[in-house]
Amino acid sequence: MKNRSNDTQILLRVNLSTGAVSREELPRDWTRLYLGARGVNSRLLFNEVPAGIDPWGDQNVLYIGTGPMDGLPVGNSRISIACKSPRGSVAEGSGGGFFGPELRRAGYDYLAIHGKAERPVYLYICDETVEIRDASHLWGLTTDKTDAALRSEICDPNFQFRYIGPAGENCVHASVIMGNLNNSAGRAGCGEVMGSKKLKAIAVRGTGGIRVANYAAFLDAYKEYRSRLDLTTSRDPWTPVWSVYGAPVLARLFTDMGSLMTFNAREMSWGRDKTARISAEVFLDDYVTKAKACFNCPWTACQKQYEIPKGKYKGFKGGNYWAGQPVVFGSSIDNDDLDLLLVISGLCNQYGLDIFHVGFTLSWAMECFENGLLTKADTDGLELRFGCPDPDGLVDLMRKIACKEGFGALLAMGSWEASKVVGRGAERFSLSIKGQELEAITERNNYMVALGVAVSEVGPDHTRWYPPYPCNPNLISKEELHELGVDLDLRKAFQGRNPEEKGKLLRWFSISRAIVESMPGCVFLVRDTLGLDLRPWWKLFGSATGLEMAYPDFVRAGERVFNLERAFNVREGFSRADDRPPIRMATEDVPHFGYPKLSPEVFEPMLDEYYEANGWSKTTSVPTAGKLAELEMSDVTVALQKAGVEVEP
Amino acid sequence: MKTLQLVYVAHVCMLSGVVEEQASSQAATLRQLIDELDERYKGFCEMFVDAVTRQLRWDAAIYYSPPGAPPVSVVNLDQPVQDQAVITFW
Amino acid sequence: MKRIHVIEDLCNGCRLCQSFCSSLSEGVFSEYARIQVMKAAGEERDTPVVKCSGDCVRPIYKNEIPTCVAVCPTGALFYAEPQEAEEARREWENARRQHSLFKVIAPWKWPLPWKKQQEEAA
Repeated sequence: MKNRSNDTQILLRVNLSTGAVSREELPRDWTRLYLGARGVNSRLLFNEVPAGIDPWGDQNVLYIGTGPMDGLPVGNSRISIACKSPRGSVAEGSGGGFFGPELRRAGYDYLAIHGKAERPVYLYICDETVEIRDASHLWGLTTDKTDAALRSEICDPNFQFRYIGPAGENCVHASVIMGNLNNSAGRAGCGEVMGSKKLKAIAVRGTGGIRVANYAAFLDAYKEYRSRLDLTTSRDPWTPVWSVYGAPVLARLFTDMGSLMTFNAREMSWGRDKTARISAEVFLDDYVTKAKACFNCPWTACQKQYEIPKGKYKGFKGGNYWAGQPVVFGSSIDNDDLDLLLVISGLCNQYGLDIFHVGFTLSWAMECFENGLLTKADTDGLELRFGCPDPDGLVDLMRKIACKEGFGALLAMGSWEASKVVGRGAERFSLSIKGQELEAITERNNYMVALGVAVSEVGPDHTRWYPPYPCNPNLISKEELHELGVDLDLRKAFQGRNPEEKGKLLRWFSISRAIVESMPGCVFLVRDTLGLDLRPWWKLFGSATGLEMAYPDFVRAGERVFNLERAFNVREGFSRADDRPPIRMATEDVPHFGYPKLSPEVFEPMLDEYYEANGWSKTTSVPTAGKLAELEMSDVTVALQKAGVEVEP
Repeated sequence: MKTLQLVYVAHVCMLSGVVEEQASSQAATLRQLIDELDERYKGFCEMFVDAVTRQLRWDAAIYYSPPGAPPVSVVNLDQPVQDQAVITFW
Repeated sequence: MKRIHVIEDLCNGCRLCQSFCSSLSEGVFSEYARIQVMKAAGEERDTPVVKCSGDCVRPIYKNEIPTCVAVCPTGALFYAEPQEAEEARREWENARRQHSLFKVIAPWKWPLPWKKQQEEAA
């Protein structure tokens, strides 16, 4: 494969129904307008997936996108995976590992997978060779066995893979697409859609290289970027902690703050003793065997492989203990046995299950069980209580959820849909928005989070507006912020329970994250001032692609991305009514800390401010024609009107 | 003499050797508390106080809970320390 | 003579070394470099394999250190005389015995103070 320049974007289309394969170059000005990755995917999705199609049918398209930074030592070379979610909205998620650079080196920036195969297949890409191969021998295998089987049958350890496990094959709610064993992506519905297409895996090998436009400028820009993130120079207290110990460190702080979801978020503090037992410190001491990283990550040990050292699960191996698991398999289900926690988490990766779906559906089920809405007759005899009195039963449940077997079939629907089956008010225990489970971030004492998860177009997803806390205020002056287009009272905006400025704050970070995800760039790289000051990213982008853009135009590209995603959603019928907190957060105060519920008096004005700041209708959330014209997307106005959506001027 | 609950997070435990402890202190401010802790755990000052500005280092954080209230991020090392406070060193 | 030494246990497989090395002569980022990280099956091991004397075509930080060593985030690579390398290795093993943090990073890469519980016997 020849080396390639970094100023074109190539789309490889594969139709699994017909077997057709084609390549096309994307319009040149898409790089300026949408950058890459999530940005370009949002445009492709809007253009090519019309309203009302069956998400499990052959008209849904699965996009896997890289961007101009993939294959370069910036952003960790993520991939953006996008499609229409079975919940009707945009489904878009970001994945790490090593797949992105390999795809670009093969000569493709984007994959678009159309149609459905009749029997299980995998896609084989090796530079110019693209084949749809039989995968019936892989169907049913867990992700780790799939990885091993592909590696040995292809006879080339340089190949990179993305695959689904049994959960994706069975179209389990929120199932994910895995890679490099423990990197997941697409919890908003991408794994289900890949399974519906009978696509088990994608194998890719690329031998080309990527030429940056201006190497000297790129190196200078890299050094500035690296200095914000490097352990020795980063001006951010999360850098030394995240880069080695990891996010489970938060648990002991959060329990004191009233920010740790406990007993299905009925309470928000678990106590320091229990959280200490599942802490990052214990994990590093007793379980970690090796650090792992994504492609060219500047950090030491974000990912860590682990092995259970003794006891019933001795020898069990897994990877990646991050911010979600201490909550979803710890405090929320009242489990302080770290062995059990790591086994369940590892099994989720093997089966291709989403940890938030599984964890919060388990805690939903435990609360239903406590309240008599579920009994042992429903749970195949499992004593499904907080505190996990039947750990073996829980471990076995992972397979049952992935295979939709017995009680697993109900849990496989996700807590919102399962509530409809159980009835009798079970939905009040479902921690979900737009039918998708929450992540593990507190809402009733952090209003930016409350608003952010509610409005997120893919269902709750913090990566679309992270971080929910400020960088050190002395790092960036008001004048500098104004120059950067951030006209906010940051101090007020970041006050947890002050509803003022939240809409405007969320708008800024929605833009910021849309830009970084379209480079693409990992959410953990939003350290130091890199969430507010996007100039390092802008310089890297410019020197890598050769594209000269004024900084405000670079920022505007980010705004286009989430406007396109909003447009997709409103065309599917989503509206203001869908942008709201889960029932529990809206109706229950937090005990012990006195944090009040997110009542309409608190929530609605924040939503008004967000829509107004974005130039969206306050009643319907549809972007106005004026806003879309400002973003050079008047064609979106026409498309929405054609689909019967009212667009205000 | 005050009684304080001190919580140590991640790499701070490499200095303290424990994840948390109850301690007696005569410190009036956080700065003085850090000096006291530096006598017991050599390197504590270096870890939290910037050598040039004498303010909290950019790459360190301290969370302070007044008795009975949730923790708040510390900005000023000269803030007072109350009896029964919980202080998390990050 | 100084060479590039490797502590395999500390390699996290990021391939920053390989990426930057590949780009130094022509500004093309690829897999072709004088240091390559071999990845074992099951993500069990990452091994940098060095085919180079350490004389960088273009050390990007313009100091005396090869680029791969300069960009390595964990300290798995270091540039030293053979005897210094042996001492560094002992220093790492000693530190790792004292604190689990050094399972994942070399003590000379960790910028903050830590308690050294015992010095090596002279």
